[in-house]
Amino acid sequence: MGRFRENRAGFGGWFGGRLGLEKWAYFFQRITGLLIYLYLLLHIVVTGSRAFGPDAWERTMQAVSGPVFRFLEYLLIVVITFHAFNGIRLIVTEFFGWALGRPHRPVYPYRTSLHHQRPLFYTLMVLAFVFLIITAWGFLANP
Amino acid sequence: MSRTRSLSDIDIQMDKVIREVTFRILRYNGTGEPPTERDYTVPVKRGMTVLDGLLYIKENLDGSVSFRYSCRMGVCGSCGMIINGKPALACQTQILDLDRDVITLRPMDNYPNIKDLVPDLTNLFEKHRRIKPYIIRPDRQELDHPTREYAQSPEELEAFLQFTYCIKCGLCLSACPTVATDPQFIGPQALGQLARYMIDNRDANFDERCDLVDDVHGVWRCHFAGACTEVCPKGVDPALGAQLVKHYILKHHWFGMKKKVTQLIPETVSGTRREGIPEPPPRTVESTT
Ligand code: SF4
Ligand code: FES
Repeated sequence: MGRFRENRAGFGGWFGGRLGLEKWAYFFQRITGLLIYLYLLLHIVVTGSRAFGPDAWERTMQAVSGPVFRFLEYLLIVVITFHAFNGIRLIVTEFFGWALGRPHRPVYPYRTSLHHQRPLFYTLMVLAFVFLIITAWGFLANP
Repeated sequence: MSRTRSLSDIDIQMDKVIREVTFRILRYNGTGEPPTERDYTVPVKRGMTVLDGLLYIKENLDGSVSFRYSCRMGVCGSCGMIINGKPALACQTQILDLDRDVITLRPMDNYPNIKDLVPDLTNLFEKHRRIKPYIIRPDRQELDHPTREYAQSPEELEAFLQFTYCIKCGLCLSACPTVATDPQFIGPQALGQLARYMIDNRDANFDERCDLVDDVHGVWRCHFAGACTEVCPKGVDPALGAQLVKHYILKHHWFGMKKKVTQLIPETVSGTRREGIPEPPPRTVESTT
């Protein structure tokens, strides 16, 4: 089957379709998940330098300091914060089935599980934002 | 200066062409060559749906445009397509509501394309079949030759009724970001229907149903993007169904959740017959028991 016959959306389907908030959350959850995984690999490489003696360790630590790495470190916190707070929503809804509303007779305009869980979504995003402001303040206070 | 509008005034308005809209249709000839866009100008009257526009094109401009439809009223689930970038039913989308001069139409994503706007929905039906969309009980004899009803309260009915409204249009799989990169993913339509049979208290197959989609391409591939629910034209909320399925599987495996299955109503129901109720019509089917 050729590509045009198969007509699969592929990676573009992750964010296409003019669709709502939750689909964006899905997209960023996947991207941040990948970034965290990449960071974990880097982290192991960097801390692994300790195996080559204290000098090697000191040299690596020198290499990854400075304002650029400081800023990247903060970005890492942004990535993890989004993943964690959005993850709380996903655990609550997917595993516990909470905050979804119950099945009911659909009457137009439909009020769906997405509407039901949106207050939880907003609350968590506000909390994440507050958390990020506090950490930013901590970063600036201890350079 | 009050002027009452007569019925004929309204009729005249219904017949008036309000605006001209360009239908930009992605034409695919089925041979594997890249599809091309073709423009058609459609005079739009009040109340015309995208499907009406397509029929106008087929009748007056180009008889070779292909698309599926049957009921033209949102019941058969044939006319799903991507309208201005969003999966929707052509017969449930008013052209004037879109309020655009150009309407782009392309076939649903994530299904093999047969021609123009005609997708091949075999995948959808196969996935639906995989979750065994029928009531399973040990009393086969009773299922095949029913003698009485199974007891089910209105609340027990409402607990799954929503999912029964699915018309198998397949729009949800077309919108789903997980199906986009994992074609084997069971998909929201089947998960919604699985929830329907897991909740229905006449179905006695709960334990086996918990294992049906408990794998990598099964329910755990769903990460609640909610795209299915946003595009579903019948308010089925397949995303809710999928989350409930996960919840039930976890409860079943970790806490030994069991389902309470209903039984036949008792043979003699007590109560008195009210006066003046007409007799039921004669049976149309011979009872075989
Ligand atoms: S769940 Fe909704 S969108 Fe999906 S096939 Fe059924 S009716 Fe269509
Ligand atoms: S033609 Fe039947 S749903 Fe649109």
